[in-house]
Amino acid sequence: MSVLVMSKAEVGGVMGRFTTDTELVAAVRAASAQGHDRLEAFAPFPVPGLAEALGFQPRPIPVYALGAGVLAAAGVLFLQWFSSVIDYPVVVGGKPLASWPAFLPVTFEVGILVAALTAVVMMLAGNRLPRPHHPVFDYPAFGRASDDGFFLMIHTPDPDSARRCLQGLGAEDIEEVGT
Amino acid sequence: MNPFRLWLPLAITLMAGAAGAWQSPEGALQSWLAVVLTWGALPLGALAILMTHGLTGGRWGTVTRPLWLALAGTLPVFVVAMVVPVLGIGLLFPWTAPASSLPELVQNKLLYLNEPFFVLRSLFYGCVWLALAWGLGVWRGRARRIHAPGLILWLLILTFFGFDWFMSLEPLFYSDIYGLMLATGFGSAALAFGMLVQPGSAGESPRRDLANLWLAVLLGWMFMAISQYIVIWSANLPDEIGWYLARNESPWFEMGWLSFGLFFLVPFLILLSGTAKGRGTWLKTAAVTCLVGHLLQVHWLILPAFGEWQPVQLWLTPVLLVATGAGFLAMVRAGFQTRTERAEVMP
Repeated sequence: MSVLVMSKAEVGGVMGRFTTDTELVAAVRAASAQGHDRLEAFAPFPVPGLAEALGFQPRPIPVYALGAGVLAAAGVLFLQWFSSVIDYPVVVGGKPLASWPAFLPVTFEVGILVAALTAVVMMLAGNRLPRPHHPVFDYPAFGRASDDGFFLMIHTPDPDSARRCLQGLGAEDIEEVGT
Repeated sequence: MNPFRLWLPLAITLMAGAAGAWQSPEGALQSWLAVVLTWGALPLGALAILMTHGLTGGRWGTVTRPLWLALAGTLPVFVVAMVVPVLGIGLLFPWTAPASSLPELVQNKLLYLNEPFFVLRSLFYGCVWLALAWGLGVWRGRARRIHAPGLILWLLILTFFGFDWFMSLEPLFYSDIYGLMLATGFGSAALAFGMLVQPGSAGESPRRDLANLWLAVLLGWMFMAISQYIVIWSANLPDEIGWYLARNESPWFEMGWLSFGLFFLVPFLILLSGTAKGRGTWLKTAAVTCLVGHLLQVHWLILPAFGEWQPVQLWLTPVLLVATGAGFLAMVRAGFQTRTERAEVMP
């Protein structure tokens, strides 16, 4: 599995490989200290502290998911109430038309479904997925991102400075990657 | 440990119990049953938590293990306390009346609901619980690998325990899902107890895992309890709906809603927030309301079966709850200290 954490991207850049996760986190810190602010990191597993080093800001997905879930539940509750009380009233089992226990299962299920879908869609959008191809796939050493390679990519219009930066940090397999 | 912490609650319990039994044996027995099941739910839940952790592993269970062991260590006292209602089944259970006076539906259940078989079953449940606790290393250092079969056995035993000690108080009533509701309810109560006692020393990340687990079990309870309600409410059959009708009257109606709010709704709303899950004070607030809700809920499940409140219960139930609760806490505390020391000696 390769884990991809993005900050700002979409310009070509230079990529280098590190051998341990701590080196990668240190390299991210050092590169941003040298003024490179468009960094992308790739690791075979979630590295603690990497997202923070890249300046990742958590998005309020839970709040949106909750809001969407509550709205959907309310809407579906209204739909059931409207259809069984106003639009098509049928007495079932001698119970009142507006019998709230009968409305609970659908309200609950739809609320959960919409909250989960909202979270999934926002997660995909936040990661800019689906994306069938990414320029780093052309970089030969990248296969090791799912094995033992920890990669740092510096997006910059000035590849030479990025190359020097990566060399200074002790990266291997340094190569330029297109957009 | 200060021995008064144990002897004083025991003395008060015995005196209050004797005075209550002298005033009204039925009333005292009913109060005793509800009180013992309220506290007994916690060690039973702790057994399931220990076995779940044995299956999954994880830091959440390693750091809190002494607490679950200490809780499960009170099981013998629970089993002994259940001897009193076993001796008084003639006063507690309507199906012990002469068969000819029972409704036909209950007469058909007498092959299962009869005194010798009932006592044997209760004895068996007690033995299985003690054996599980022993096998999980509650009294010895090492746990045996009984977690998967143990958990299945635990759920089966709790289901039958629910049939016998909860449902057969109203022998017309029957519900398949009752055992699952008890299992998730007892598990939530035990996790709430753990949240209340442990959080400071557990550390941030295991505590968050524990809170997530607790939220999942609470949701499971809500699912079981509401499923049972919706199924019985929809079918509206005379034998089943009577159970809810009895709880639709004051004070059970108010108590039912209050316990739903305290046991489930307040902890659920608190645990929804990721920030609150990281804060000890919020978690403790949720744990306290959940435990109060658990107390109300056990009484709500048991007491409406007996119809009117007996006057003796007005003073006896609170006195017994406080006295047995104090003794229970003292035992858990002492067990927790010895087990923490033992865990430090041999890692």
